[in-house]
Amino acid sequence: MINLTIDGKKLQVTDGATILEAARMFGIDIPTLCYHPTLSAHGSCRLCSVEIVQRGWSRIVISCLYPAEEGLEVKTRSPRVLRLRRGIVELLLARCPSSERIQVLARQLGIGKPRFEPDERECILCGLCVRVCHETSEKKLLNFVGRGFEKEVAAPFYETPQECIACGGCAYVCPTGTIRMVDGKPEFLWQRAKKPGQGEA
Amino acid sequence: MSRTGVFICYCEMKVGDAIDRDGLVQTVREWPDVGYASIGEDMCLDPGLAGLRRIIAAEKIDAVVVATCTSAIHAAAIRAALTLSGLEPHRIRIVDLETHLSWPPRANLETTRSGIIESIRQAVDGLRTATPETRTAPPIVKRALVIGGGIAGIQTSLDIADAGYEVLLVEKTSSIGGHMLQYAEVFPTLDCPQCIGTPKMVEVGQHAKIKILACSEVESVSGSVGDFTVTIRRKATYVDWAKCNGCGICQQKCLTPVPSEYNRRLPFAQTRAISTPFAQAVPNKPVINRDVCGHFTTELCQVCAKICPLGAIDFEQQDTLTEEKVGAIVVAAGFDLMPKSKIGEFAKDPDIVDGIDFERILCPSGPTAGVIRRPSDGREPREVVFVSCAGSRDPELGVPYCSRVCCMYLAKQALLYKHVVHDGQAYLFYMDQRTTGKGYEEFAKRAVEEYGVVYLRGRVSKIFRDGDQLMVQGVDTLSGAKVEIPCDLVVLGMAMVPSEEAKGLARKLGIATNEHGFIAEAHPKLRPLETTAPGIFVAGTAQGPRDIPDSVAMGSGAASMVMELFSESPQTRLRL
Repeated sequence: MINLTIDGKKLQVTDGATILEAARMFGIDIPTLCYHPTLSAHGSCRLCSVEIVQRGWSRIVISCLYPAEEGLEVKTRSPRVLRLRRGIVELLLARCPSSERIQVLARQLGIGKPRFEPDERECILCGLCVRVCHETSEKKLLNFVGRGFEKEVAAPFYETPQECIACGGCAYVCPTGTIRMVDGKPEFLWQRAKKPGQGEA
Repeated sequence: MSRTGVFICYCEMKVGDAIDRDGLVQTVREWPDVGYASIGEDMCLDPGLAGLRRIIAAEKIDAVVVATCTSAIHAAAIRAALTLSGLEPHRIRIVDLETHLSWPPRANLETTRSGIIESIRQAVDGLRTATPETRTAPPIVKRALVIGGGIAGIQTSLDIADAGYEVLLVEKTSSIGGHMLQYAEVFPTLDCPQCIGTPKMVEVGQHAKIKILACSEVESVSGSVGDFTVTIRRKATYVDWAKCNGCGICQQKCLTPVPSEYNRRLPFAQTRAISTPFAQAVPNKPVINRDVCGHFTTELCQVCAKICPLGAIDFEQQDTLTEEKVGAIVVAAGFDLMPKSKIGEFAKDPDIVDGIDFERILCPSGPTAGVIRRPSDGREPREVVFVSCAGSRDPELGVPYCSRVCCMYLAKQALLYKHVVHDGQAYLFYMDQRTTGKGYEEFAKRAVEEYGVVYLRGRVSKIFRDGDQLMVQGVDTLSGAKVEIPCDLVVLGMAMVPSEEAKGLARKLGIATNEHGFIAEAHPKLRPLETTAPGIFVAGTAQGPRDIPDSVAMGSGAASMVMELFSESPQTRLRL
């Protein structure tokens, strides 16, 4: 068992639990987008960032991957965390302005119109669909393709994979509603994009 | 022309002046057919019945009317004795004086007396037209319905089935086992209920004569003893159990975690929207929780359906109604704990738990894996206060009765707590220590003497949060002092109340309940397993609060009542 403090509340969790799991178990809310309790954590949205204090030094870690440690002190709503969270949500909102969940987060954090130019990408590359496809259906059809600005989710050759069992898991976990189910089959972003075989600009 | 004998059993205490002794006999003797009439005492006893038989032989009586104080108790013995005299069953009529005697109050003596005379006259007249055919009961359907798959229902089913009769076991949840399976170790022997309960569940599941209808409820009942027609609603599970082999992959892959009802929604373990309630479930088939399932809430997710190797998921499944013929019914519908919310001031804090919540926390195979943790922060409670009579013996909350098991299970929980947290301290507030059972008092003594549980005689007046801890205020009536105990966890021994379904069930079956909703027995002392309807029996906590051994005993008892009915002995047939 591990003892830690989150927002001043002393908690005890089992070995191996992450800060996020510890917090959620006992009703402390940390917002997430790329986390799903039945899938492995990925740490791509950074929204679950929290401040931890060790030996008097504080730093920012992502709670979905950082394991609870004995004596750890965690702050989920410190000014530093909230400032960071606001920045993250503002960037996500600019990237994906039509997402309802991000709009709600922005409202909660008091963010109006983002300072950045909206680029209507729809996908925040959280990777939940990729993980569902690998871990839940175990078909491993969806993957990340490209790097940096070019990075996107795709199936091989940007085709609708024959092996897809249409379980809909990817659409169900997608936080931005980018993957839709059309006629019982998932419809991905690249299938709606202008040119198959090319990442979106 | 028959020669009817009329015998009136008189006793000062029960009958008293409700009959005019000499006048009544005079009146009866003047009726046609009546060849003999007498009034005597103690006809229900052996000498009385022997006298009756002597008179029947001497007076050449071939039809008999016996008026007795309580036919519910005496009828069987009287009929048996008269049958020995060679009287045919249809030539015997028993008049129940109780219906006249108990009508409150005997305000009008004349009405009571004339009512009794009228009843006897009807019986005498009835004999004139009685033919053997009118007493012939239809054949008995030798198949029993057991309602409720808790330990009482399990025992009943096994006993009836082992005797060779078919059993339909209707269970409202998706697995049999009942509350007992939720418990940590059980008093006074500290057996593990999963270890002693699951073999019985498996036995039921494997028994060729038992058909389990899980996720089912009785919709309606018609007919009468020996020949009931029961309509059973099989609730949609959205899984075709005929195809499912219980591999569990759907439960593993489901993307919707939900709190587990079986684990009392404790934060330590979650289940999925498609799941079996626990690993040893019988039948081991999952059910989709429609309210939370991703398919039903968003229409996006079909993971379980697409992953199931047997194609057993059926989102279109509907409730179905099936009709079954049975000869006897046993109600073993069980109990619920009174919800904490009934005691407003105790309801809100997560560290105030009820008895079954704490059983799950104590259970070695439970959500905390045997580590004792409190729900608010997962820490081991250093001080625990147990409160007995939380709801029970409190007429203001509608439960004036004692729930019988709380004294014992709270003592057991305190002891099990000390097994795990050696340096922890347990306090127990009680009104009276009621430990009536074999080895029970000794067990409770052990909790005090060997484990140092502090017993405080008195009631708790207030529980409130004080930072990390809870503060329990109460009175120790033995010392007369007010006490205030800071603690980490409070366990309430909430009152046992009839299960919500049991109330509706009684109405559907047409059987009586007491004012609290527990099934009423035909006679509170002498017919505890029979309900007010012939052929419908009761077992376990549906009848009133009781512990596991009593529920099992009652289950076996109810089973023997069913077997007696199915034996179709002459005595049994007489009662049909």
